Amino acid sequence: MLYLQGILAVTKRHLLVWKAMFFSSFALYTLEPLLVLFAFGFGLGQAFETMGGLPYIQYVVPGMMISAAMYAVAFDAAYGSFLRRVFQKTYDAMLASPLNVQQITFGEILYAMIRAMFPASIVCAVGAYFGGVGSIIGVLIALAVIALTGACIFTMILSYASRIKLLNRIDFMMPMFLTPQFLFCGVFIERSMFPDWVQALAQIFPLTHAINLIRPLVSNQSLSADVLLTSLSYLIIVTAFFTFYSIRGLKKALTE
Amino acid sequence: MNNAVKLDKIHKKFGEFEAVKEVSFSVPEGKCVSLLGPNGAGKTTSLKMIMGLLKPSSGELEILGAQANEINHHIKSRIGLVPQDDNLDPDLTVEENLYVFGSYYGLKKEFIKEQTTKVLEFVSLADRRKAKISELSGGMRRRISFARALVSDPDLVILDEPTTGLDPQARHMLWQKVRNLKAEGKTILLTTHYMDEAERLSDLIVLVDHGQVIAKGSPRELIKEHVEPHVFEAEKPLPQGLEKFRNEDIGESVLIYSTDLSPEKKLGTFHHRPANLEDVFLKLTGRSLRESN
Ligand SMILES: Nc1ncnc2c1ncn2[C@@H]1O[C@H](COP(=O)(O)OP(=O)(O)OP(=O)(O)O)[C@@H](O)[C@H]1O
Ligand SMILES: [Mg+2]
Repeated sequence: MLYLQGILAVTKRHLLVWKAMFFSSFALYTLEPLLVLFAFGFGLGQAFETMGGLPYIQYVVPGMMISAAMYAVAFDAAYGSFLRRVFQKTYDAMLASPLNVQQITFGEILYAMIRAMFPASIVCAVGAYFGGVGSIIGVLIALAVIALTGACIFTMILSYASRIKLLNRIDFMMPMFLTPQFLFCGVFIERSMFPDWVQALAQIFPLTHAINLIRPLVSNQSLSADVLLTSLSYLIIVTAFFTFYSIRGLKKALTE
Repeated sequence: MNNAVKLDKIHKKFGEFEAVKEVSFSVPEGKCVSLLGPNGAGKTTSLKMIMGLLKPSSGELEILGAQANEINHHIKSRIGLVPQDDNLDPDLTVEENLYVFGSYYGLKKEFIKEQTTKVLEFVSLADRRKAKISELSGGMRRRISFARALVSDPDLVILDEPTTGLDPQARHMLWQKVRNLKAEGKTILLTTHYMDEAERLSDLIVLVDHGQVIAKGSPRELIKEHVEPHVFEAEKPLPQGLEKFRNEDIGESVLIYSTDLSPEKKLGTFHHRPANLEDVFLKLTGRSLRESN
């Protein structure tokens, strides 16, 4: 009980800071994907009437939902966590209270899940207005998948970011981890349009699996049991693995 | 008497560097103990180990009756820390900072509210509760850090240089608060570079240098044991005929230590005062400024 309360206290602290910084973060993580949605929806929508068997707007809305979530979570995992660990010593303050590293990490992850759902919901609402959403129930389930993907991406980055001593050591995240996912994992172009080796490589990234699940849900298409099983297990297993490594990384960085 | 904190042969290495070589001391319940020493002596590192923020490389640690490996939520919730470097949330208000911190302890909302009012009055900053931390001056932040450490009403209060950056009024206020805490039966462990502060507040002084304890005792005992009772401060150079007295070159002037008033006759203008803790510090840690290790 006390353990869970501690986790929630960490999440609540982050939410309060988010609230205090809301306008700057809103512009970055919510307005930007809306601009991209607008540009792709109208621009590429003219070029491709359908993509992957869907009207283009229905194709791109789920893609933009998850990519908006990815960016919000990734920057917090990389730069936000470094700020809290090194510059503001927020974790030291937490550890001086009865909280432990595990609780701090779980509180971070819970916050990342909320952060992931927020821009995705806004993109979804705007997308729905332009006819990009096929099922409300599907959207709700998709948001849960987005939260899980948020946890997955967050822990993958945190497990590395918790171990670095200099902030610029994480700069490769953009070109090596985020941009490839944005371009090659099926956010706005079918993966099948790329060479085989690119498609194969795309399988290692979480966004591919997130999109496998989210797109059928939001556009109200059937989701094959095979895809469901593979992609969901990928997200769960990878999240569990990197959660463990994040806790280890933070423990080492904060108490040794 | 029970000990609130007990360190037994605590040792801490960072890589190959021994920050704390061997430190043993105890903080009796209800007392105020000061950890003194030059920059880099290992004070903050020792306090962090007590707080569980750093793992000792070896040695035994006992806090509020629990061994280091038995320290749980219950034990930690009885400790309050003022860290050397403030780690308040700059984007949140004073009130939010205290609220957030209280919630880490699992405290009830109403209790935190009551405590917030109390501790902000305690540090004379009640009128700033709605201010963002980033809008406060350095000294005010220090006082908020002190207030934050008291939100959970801890039994053991650990203060790492609590008065660095405070104006004279605020320092006096903080001293008074520390005395009040002691009167309430709380245990205090602090570090400071102000010898007058340590002398006023402490029941026991632990002097550390290069990661080792070099002297322990009450301020009076230490002064009596280590330095001559009379101190004469005179302009340099040291006047002829005074070479037999122990002296310390302190830059502008020289300090002459004596068991009696005899140096007086050989000095022109001088300042005479009784020996204090600073003299003990100078003698035991050496005068030369510590650049680096
Ligand atoms: N995380 C760390 N990694 C490596 N060395 C460290 C680390 N923390 C402290 N040290 C070293 O350990 C020694 C003791 O540091 P500590 O902060 O305990 O000193 P201190 O007595 O508190 O000094 P000050 O009066 O300046 O606050 C210093 O030489 C410092 O450089
Ligand atoms: Mg220090």
